[in-house]
Amino acid sequence: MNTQFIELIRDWKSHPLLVELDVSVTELSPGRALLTLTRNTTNVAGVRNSINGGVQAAVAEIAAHLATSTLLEQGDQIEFTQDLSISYLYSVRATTTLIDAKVLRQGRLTVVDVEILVGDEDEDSGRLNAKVRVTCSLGRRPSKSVVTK
Amino acid sequence: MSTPKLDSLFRIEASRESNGRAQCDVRALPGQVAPKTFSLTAAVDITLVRAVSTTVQPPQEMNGTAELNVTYLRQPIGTAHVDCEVTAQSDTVRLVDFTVSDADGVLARGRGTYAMTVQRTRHQ
Repeated sequence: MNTQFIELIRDWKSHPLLVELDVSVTELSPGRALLTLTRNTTNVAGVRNSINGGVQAAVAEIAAHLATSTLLEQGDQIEFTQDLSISYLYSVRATTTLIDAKVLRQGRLTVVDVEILVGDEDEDSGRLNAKVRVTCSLGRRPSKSVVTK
Repeated sequence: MSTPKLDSLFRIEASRESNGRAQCDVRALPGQVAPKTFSLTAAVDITLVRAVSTTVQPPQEMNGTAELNVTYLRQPIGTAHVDCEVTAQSDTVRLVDFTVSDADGVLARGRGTYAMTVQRTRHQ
């Protein structure tokens, strides 16, 4: 994992957006990131008292970047999200929601599959609420040139 | 459709909506020079819903975003502008096309599908 993401996880609680949305990292392993989104008065802003669709898509994108970052080689970086597609299947009304991101293909274009699932504390735990596919464009960080006399 | 807390969190400003169209500006998060794509993704969904909300005619009711597809051509520079427009509609669905641009021009395009329901009145 590159330093950008190590710093992000270390300083997670200093990012107002992540704190306000109540998103936390539950698990990180090579090619996978599992985040937990806890229902609160900020992220509930959708129809039928559900978590807002824009919040779901944004957190899925963050999870995809984290999963990708676990496989980055020295000098590589995520340039930007190239493509994001989300299918909303059910309203997200659970107390906790899991965002499970898994890298499907690693390369200059890295493809990540993200599932948004009902968390463990609820009756229909594990039900798929939304399916997301995120394609990230990777690039190499410019290396510092060494000037010798 | 009002989402003041999310607007503030994702730095969504200058929202306006009418006649099947909604627009907003998205500014960089504190400490950043340009908005992150995840902020734009959130802003697109929020603005799409606002565009749809201007087209609802009773007994139609809004039911939720069904699909959202966005393709980014490059990273944003500075403040980004989101423009969503309802391009086709039926009793059960709205199609919304959108563009995200900044000072250098278009940086993303996409389409959303929004589900509608029709409340049927019961006859005795």
